[in-house]
Amino acid sequence: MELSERKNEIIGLGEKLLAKLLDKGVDSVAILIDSHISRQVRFAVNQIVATKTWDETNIGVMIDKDKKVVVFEIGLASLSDIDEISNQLMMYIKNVSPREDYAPLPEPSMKYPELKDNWDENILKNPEMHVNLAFDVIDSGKKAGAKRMAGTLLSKAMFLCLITSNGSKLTQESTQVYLDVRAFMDKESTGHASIAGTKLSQIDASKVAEEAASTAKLSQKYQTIDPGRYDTFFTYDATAALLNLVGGATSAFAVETGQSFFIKKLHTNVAPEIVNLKDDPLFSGAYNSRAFDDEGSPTRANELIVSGELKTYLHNRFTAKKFGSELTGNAGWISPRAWNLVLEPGDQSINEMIENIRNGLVIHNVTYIRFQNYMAGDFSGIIRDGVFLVKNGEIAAAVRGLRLSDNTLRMLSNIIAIGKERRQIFHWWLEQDIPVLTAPIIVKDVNYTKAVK
Amino acid sequence: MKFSLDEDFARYAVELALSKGVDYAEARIQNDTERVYILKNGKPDAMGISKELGISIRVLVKGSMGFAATDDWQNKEKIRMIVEDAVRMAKANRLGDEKLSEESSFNVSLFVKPKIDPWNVSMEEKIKFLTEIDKFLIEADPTAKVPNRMHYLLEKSTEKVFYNSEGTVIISSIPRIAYFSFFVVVVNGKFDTRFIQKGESRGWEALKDWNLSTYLAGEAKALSKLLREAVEPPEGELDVIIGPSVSGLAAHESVGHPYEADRIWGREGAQAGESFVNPDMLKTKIGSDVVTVIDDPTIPNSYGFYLYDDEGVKAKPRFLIKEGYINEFLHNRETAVRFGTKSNAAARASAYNREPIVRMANTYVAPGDYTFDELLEDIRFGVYVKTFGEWNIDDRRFNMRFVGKEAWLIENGRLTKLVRNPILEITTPAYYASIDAIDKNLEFEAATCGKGDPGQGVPVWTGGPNIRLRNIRVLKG
Repeated sequence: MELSERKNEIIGLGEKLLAKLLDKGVDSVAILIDSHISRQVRFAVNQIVATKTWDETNIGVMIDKDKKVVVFEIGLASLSDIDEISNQLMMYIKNVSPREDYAPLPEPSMKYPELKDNWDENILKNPEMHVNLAFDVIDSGKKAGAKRMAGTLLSKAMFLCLITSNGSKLTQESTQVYLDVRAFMDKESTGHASIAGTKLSQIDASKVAEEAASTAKLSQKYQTIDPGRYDTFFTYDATAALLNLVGGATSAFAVETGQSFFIKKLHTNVAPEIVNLKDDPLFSGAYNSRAFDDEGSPTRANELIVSGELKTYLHNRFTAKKFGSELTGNAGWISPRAWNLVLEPGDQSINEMIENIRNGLVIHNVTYIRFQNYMAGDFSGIIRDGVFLVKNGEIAAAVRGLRLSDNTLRMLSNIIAIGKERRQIFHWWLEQDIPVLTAPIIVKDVNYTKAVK
Repeated sequence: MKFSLDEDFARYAVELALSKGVDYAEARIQNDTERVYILKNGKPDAMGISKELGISIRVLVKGSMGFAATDDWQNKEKIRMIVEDAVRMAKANRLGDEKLSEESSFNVSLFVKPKIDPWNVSMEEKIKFLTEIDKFLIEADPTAKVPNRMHYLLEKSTEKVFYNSEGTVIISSIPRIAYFSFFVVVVNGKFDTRFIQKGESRGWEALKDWNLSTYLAGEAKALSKLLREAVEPPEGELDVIIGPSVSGLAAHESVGHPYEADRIWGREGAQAGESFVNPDMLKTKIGSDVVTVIDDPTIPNSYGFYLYDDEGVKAKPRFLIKEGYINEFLHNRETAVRFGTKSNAAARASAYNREPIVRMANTYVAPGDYTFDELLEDIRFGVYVKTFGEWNIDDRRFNMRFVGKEAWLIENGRLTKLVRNPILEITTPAYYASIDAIDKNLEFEAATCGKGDPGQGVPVWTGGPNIRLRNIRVLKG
């Protein structure tokens, strides 16, 4: 299965498809082809429960005609349906009025950024290495004292090609890999750790397994505490989960449709000065590295929050038109999105951060986040995999049964410390599927609730 | 639509796998074709068509399960490559102990035909439909604004060929139609949001039965009234009535999920999570005598409908809780062996490129014999939570929280005032033990249930009547 052998074939396919669709009298066409080989090893209860391989080529097509837009997505084997599908779409176009926010596809740029450190041949050449990494996790976790280890190792080698009728012919190759591990001492004493990157060699299986296992062990001795407000140290994984909410809320589509807590917040302070957050698909080893967006604009690092001020929403051509903004290189065809969030580090070590907490919590993971009101930012989330009470700068005991119940804007404005060490996090339960290069943070007075029976 | 799949390629994959010395092989060709129409703030947005079509192979080699998939399903060379890869990866896992339960073999075809095929309804009519219900939504209450509105109309066809090395061949085609909307209602500068979902395994005819114009207008009015009139909810140990949409979701989240045998065994430990339920809790009491919870894939027209699962096992209703007792878990063939039982056909895969895992179909609380008024009349002071906004539950499915959206104060057996965001945070056993009466009004709602890694969203119904709980802790939002 050689991905490299497909490149010319895929570009040729895209060009033929483009010509065929232009013959139908449309104004413009964009064709995005993602051909990938992906592997996964899933393990649970100290054994590998499934190995999986995907070899797929997905073809996305966007057609503009008379300021109306339609999209479709098919697999390689469905190319024979192109005529039928495009006829259906042309019918749709006849029946709708032009988009008020219409803007044509952006003109190709003279220059696109170069991607760095984003390819690992081992992902294709060495499938057994995936299985061996999973065995390493299980063995290391058990050696570190965990009763049961579970997790996922997922890798993807991808060839991406965008061809547009206004002259873009853009390609990139990239690899991605993440390891997501959960360790169990019993059903309630659990630990979690994860790491993401572009190369299998970046995945330190033993370190991740040992972290999860040691957290699980520490979770066994617990005490009951009252619900209420606690200063809280959020680890890499927990911070990544929270920053996903922030990344999702910066999409101009979310703002336009009332699904963002950043409506009317542009150029206002949404966080203290220590908070600097950008979206950057170009840093070396970015999990979701991208040189061009789905409309053919070059990507770039976009400063989202600078010294606490919300600087921009993320745009595709339609939202940029509607908001009177420039393109940001974040186009998805329906909705713009962040590629890879990066939180600027602070200057404190993890130990220093925890030492400064008098009466608070350490939280390793936040999942199942649900909003009561998207625009207001009221939400709650499940905290798990290591929730600890901190007394006078030291971890006193694990605690159970609390639920994070707060408001995104309030929490953002209450960030009081950011760690100096960072880790890239990506796994399946991040609410917006946005990888995050993050440091841990401390948020003051976070609210927690609890079931009473 | 004409059935478009060819079982020869599935047979080829299975025979090839057997020739490589595997103990078991199955192939599934699946075609999920869908069209989605989006109306954003009153204007048609981009229309989308997607076709997920391909083949997957699953092999069992000396206790190790290997899975591989490709979209190039009619290319025998590509099929050979994925079969070899699945076998190679399974062999690399030298420590597997998977087995599959022994099940009957079937050779059947099942074609569900819609009365009105959405593919035959004109685009013009679909756009008109969405535009009209949008109009009802914004005109529902002249005192309110509905500035942000997203409507999605989804029509989907799922064709499958399942073929395994034990002689089972299942060929099926099921249509689905769904509607989703998200909107914001603003009154005097205050705002609130609402998400709606409907879905059935039917055709265009389902839309008329849903009566969406009236439904949406009612929901917008309710939200507007809530913003204008709602007062703080009472706090304390109160009697509470839960509406059908809430009792149905609770059944799905706090009964269906923790009774999934793969969670109980630990297979989903790192993803969806495990379960507070242990195997030895089977046949023990978890709720009051009036509580029966069923998961039934065979309900005609239901969103989670199927008659054979994605391991070729014949479907039937599963009684998860029967008169307060834990009665049955949800099993596929892998978990059935681990629990020493037979599969009850809970294996589902959301697309050709997903492995079949243990899933729910249509999970609901069985109706009782009370009327809604009879539930009310025995409450002196309490809260009625008709619909919910925020909802979550921990990964063991033990500790749940939901926040009421439309909720009412109950005083002396009558609904008197709207209350704002009452919060119920309660453990699963306490919730089911507190139910003392259930009314006759069984209602179903459509949902997309998520599980697995990579994620698998499968269509389900959640269902329930109004249920009354005694002495439940209610908090202010």
